[in-house]
Amino acid sequence: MDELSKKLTLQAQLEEVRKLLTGYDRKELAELNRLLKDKDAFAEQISQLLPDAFNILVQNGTVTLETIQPMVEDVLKESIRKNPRTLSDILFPIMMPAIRKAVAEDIKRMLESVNNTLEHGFSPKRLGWRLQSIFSGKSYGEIVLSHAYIYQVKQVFLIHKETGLLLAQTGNDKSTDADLVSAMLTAIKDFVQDSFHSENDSLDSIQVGKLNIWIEQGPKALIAAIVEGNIPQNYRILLKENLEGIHIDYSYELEHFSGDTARFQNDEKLLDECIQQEKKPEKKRKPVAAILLLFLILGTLVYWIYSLVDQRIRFDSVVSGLKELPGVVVTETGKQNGVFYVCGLRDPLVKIPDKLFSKNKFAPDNILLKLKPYISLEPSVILKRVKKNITSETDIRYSYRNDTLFVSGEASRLWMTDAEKKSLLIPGISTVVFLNAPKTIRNFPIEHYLYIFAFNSDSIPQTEQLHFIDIVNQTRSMLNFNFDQDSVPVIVALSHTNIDGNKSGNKIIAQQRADKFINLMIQQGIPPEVLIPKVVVMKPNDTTYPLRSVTFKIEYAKSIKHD
Amino acid sequence: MIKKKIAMLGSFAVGKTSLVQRFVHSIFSEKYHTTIGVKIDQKIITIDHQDVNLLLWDIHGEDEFQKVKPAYVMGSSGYFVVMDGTRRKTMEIGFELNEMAKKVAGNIPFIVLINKSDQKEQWEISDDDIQEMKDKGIEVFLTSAKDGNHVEEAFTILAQKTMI
Repeated sequence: MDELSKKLTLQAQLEEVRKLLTGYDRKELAELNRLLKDKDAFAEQISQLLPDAFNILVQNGTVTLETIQPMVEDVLKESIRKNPRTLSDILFPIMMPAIRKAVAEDIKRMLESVNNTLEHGFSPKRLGWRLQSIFSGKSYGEIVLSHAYIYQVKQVFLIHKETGLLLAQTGNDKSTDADLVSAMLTAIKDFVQDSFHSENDSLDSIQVGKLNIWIEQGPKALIAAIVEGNIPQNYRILLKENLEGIHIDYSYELEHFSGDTARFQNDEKLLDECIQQEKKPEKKRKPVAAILLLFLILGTLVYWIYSLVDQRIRFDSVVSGLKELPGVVVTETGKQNGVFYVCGLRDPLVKIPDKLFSKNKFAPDNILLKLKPYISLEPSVILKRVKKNITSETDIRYSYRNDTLFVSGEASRLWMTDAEKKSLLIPGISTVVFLNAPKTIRNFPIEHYLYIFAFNSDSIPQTEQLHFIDIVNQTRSMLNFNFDQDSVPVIVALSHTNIDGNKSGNKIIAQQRADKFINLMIQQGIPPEVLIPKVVVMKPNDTTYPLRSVTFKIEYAKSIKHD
Repeated sequence: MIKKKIAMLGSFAVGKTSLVQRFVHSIFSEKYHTTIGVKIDQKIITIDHQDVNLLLWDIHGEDEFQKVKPAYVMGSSGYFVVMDGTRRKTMEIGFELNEMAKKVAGNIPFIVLINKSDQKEQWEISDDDIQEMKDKGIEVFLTSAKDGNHVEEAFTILAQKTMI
């Protein structure tokens, strides 16, 4: 008994030591041993742990998609190599709808492209493209493509599908309130899907004016791209690929999204690929505006120079005209403050004709004339002065040469005397020559004399008496000159009076005046038979001779031969 | 930034839009504009030193002709069930909408707002009704979009609840 008890005690002690060393009792160790030896039992135990273990490995990053991917690919490759039919059987239910969808997408894209081409086929733009094709040598298709696929993605939103909350956004145009837009887009999408009870068909695009909002939906998130211009259909493929990538990379975050967007927003490159744009090639346009401006400037400059030259030429023409004008002397010309001026002298009798200005397209006010008055000795001006100063009789003509005024035409004796006096007062005239005997055939010096008497008087004025001896001498010489044998000169003393007032009294005093001269001449030895006193009664408006004057006239009388 | 979707549920003309306008823009208009579909507004508030952007889905009022689309409630972090104190019928519709929201969004925080507290004398919803709701563990606020009474407070508390 003792031995037995001793043996039991030792075994118990040994068990105790084993438990202390391994932590397991005999039964547990036996179980572990059995599990290790029984592969099926061990595999069953491990299979219960593997899913949790794998999850932990994925969560802590030990196992990633990148690490699994090559293995899966290798497995698939090997499987397909060994037995392609198995995989095709597996994929058949998935592939066929996918292929159908892809074909449908391609047909839709082609139809849209054809539709787009037809829509614009006859527009001026397309006609322009056709012309461009002809002239550039490129095919029409190339030209169309170069124009049709110009677009710009302005903004891209990544939206959590269930909550409608904006996860991330990218794009240059941040003016829109992306959070509101995202929520509203989700609401619209939900509304459309809910209203048409369509789970499979989703809202793909919304057109807002020139903007297109393209929506690509995934199981947990959707991408909305705001695009301007003609979008190529393959952009949708890009959106799909991007969205798939996001679903793979952020599957956990999307699944457990609770409103914190930091994880998405920190990934700056999340949506960068979706920002696409294709700019129209910068055409090297001819600088039409610049050329036009240059032409405009040149044109203005040329016109300005032309105007200046033309104005100067016209002004010079005016100056030449002024210089040619008798009675005008130009001393200085120029332009001051944009106004032409002419300095010089002008005879007041000379009028500058307006035609001189109008002919040269100037208003008279356009040219400032600073002409001081002077007396011109130009023959034409002298003649003007003569005509101004001397009351003209009819048919009187004047000419001037070498200080001599030549007068031609018919005029009275008295006028001639007055004209000569007045002419000699005009500067530039020193001699007056009457070319024709005015109103008389022979012009005798005695006929130039004129005596004017005071009212009711027959006495010769003292000043006039000095010339009387000249008259007597001229009478004597004239009496010695006979034009022909049959006639003798007779001196008629004409005493001029009129009918105003006392007509008979006027005649008496006029007779006395004529007699006075006859008597005086007789006293000087002039034969009485050649002297005839005569009273001339003038009509009221007759101004040929001054009133109360005596003149002389030579007449020829037939001589009476005494046998 | 943390973003939360908050849905406004309730019968027609209970004042959902007015409550949102009061909370977001601090304005109130007597004019009634019926909401068609959904109108979305946002306001950033600070909770526990953290900015939270509340996206407020002002959903059209429910009546016998127009039912609220469950899709609008989906994904909400919290919601308000708005009732008009002067119309008892809106309480019943509110309860129905609450049931719908629970089915769609699960057990997410919500607050019952009994609006138009400025017209308390005309109320059809009694204090007993309110007490009954409170007894069921429902948080109830008596609000006035006109006066702004308890509006800010209600939104802030719901936002806080969504953060837990």
